Amino acid sequence: MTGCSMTQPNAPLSFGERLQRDYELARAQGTSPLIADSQRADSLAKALAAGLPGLRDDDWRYARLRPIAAAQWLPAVVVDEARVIEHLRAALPDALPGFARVVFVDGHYCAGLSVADQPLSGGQLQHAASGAAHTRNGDARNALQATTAERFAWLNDIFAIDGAQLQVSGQLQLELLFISTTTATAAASYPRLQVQVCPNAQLTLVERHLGSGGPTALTNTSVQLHLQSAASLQHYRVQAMARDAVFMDTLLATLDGGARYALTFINQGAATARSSLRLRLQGDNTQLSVHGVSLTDERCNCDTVIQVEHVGRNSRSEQVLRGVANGQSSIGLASRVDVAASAGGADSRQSLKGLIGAAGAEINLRPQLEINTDEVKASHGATTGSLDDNTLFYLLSRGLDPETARKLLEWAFIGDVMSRIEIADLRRQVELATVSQLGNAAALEALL
Amino acid sequence: MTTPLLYIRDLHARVADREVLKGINLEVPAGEVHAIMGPNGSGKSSLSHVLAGKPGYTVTSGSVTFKGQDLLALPQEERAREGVFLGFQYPVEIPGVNNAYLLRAALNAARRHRKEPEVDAFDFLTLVKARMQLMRMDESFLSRGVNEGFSGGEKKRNEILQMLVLEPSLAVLDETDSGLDIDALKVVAAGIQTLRSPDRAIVLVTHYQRLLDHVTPDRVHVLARGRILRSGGPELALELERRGYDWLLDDAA
Repeated sequence: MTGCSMTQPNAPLSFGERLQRDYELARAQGTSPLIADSQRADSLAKALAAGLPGLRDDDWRYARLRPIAAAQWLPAVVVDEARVIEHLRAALPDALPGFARVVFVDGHYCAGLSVADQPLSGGQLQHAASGAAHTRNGDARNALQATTAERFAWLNDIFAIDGAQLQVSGQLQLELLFISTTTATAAASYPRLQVQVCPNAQLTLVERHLGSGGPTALTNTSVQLHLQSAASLQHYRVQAMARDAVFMDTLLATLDGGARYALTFINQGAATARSSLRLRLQGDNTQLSVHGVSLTDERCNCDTVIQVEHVGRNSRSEQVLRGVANGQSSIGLASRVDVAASAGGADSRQSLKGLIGAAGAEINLRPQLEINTDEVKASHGATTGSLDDNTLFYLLSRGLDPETARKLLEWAFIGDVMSRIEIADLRRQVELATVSQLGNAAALEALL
Repeated sequence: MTTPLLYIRDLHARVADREVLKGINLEVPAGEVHAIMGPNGSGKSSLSHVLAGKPGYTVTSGSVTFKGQDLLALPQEERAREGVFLGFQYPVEIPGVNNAYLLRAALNAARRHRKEPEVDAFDFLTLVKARMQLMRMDESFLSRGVNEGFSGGEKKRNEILQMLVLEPSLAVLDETDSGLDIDALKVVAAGIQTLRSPDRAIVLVTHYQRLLDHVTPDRVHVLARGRILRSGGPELALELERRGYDWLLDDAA
């Protein structure tokens, strides 16, 4: 990341000085009505106290910290919306049948690209332009003791200029696209989403992050989810940012009794990406499944840290995490499961696997389990390796060229996660993007 | 005399420090089926592996000529595209890669190599389904992962199915009969018989006579201690079945 210091106007400032200065500038620029001034001040105080993560922070050991520190924090100012819309419309993925689509550009609601009934059937979506006001109802963090893993969510509180507040009371299928266009302006984008799924309601949510980047442009996402009793959320997250983007992401979810949350995530973009997920199984009889894959190449770094907290009784969690690293890229996948003393009958499974596709690539897997009660079923496993020579030889002996054979096996490696995408059109879009990322698209496309 | 399809001359090969082939001489003309028999550890599988180019084997001297060209100079995938097929003793499982994809990719790789047009999906399915019927395999196998969760017998049938789809000039079947019950053995043998033709050759590597009851070889070779100790007609296999290998080993000692 050479050259960052040249483009940063006030490099000598300390983190705290810089944050204070930008906080004042952002207030002058205009902030989101979705966030109360008191919350913003509270988050500022926490962010100042926590500072930036360093190599000594265990949770950040495999993240790439310098581009994050060097990035601009001030939010992008929305310019010339009509021009932006015209430019972006052609680049958007095809709409998903049966899904309402809501688009945010640089963190700001974009009416021109959104395609949704007003109001949504089955739910209500608010943003700054629709007159949303701040509320701490449904703020997943109310229930949580703050940890420094969330420090980038605090930055989002401080700087976000808009956000989506979604309340689902019936059945809803919604696609949220967050697009960053921050290259030219060297400014930050703050996608922000708060979701409350009411008792017995069902939400299928596709959340995609797309767009351009640049070494000084930060996209810093904050997602908070509250699943009330017996609510159900099927959540697909696709991070497909440009190859030079810096992408930060914090997701906090709380599940009340009987709630079910199935999360499938695909990380396939950005130069530097970090996701911090904290998933709290608060009520009894909750079910959580997380299936995720990180694909990296060139010199990209993609770090994901997941914390699952079993609090209520008879809760189940399953995690299937896969990483494929090519080029000189690196992947971190950490999954920590805490089973509280109150969480009798908990059942937790973790499977982490990494595939190193090139000699210069690196994968760090860290499954962790802390159990504070008896009467628990828990299993975890982690393996990292390169492709099996015998398997490769088998494919070559059938006439496949080595490159296709390798990519085919990488493809097969992430099949456990891809097969979780139940929306046919989304799956096809993700698979096509994955195939073109793995390379040798012509040979692999016949798979689809 | 025409050049045999496969011509192996004084072939020596090593795995790590161990010499596993110690001067193999073998000629297999087109149109013939040859059986290579021998006790455990004799080098039978090593010979198959060297022909297909399995990593880990180093050829230290000798030559292998296939269709008049130096087989050992070709990378593994080129050997396959030229028409060498190895039926694996232990076919690998590849979850996530389905059988249909592998078969079609393999077939098209060979066709491109021969400058023939690729098969389209319809023609491919027609071809594969006909072959599957012959191998008494359910069509659901096509959409399953390669050998994933297959029984030992199913894996071997799948190897023969691949062979029948690819129609190689030379099939080297490494202990394809091991682990098969009588019914499966008959199906596999029928599959092998189907491939028999004047322009192809088949090398059966086996421990036992029983496959040869169904596929009568033109020649039988006894391989032991890295060398071919004796060659003969189909009657040699019967003699081995009766007398075992010790008398040959004693003769050679």
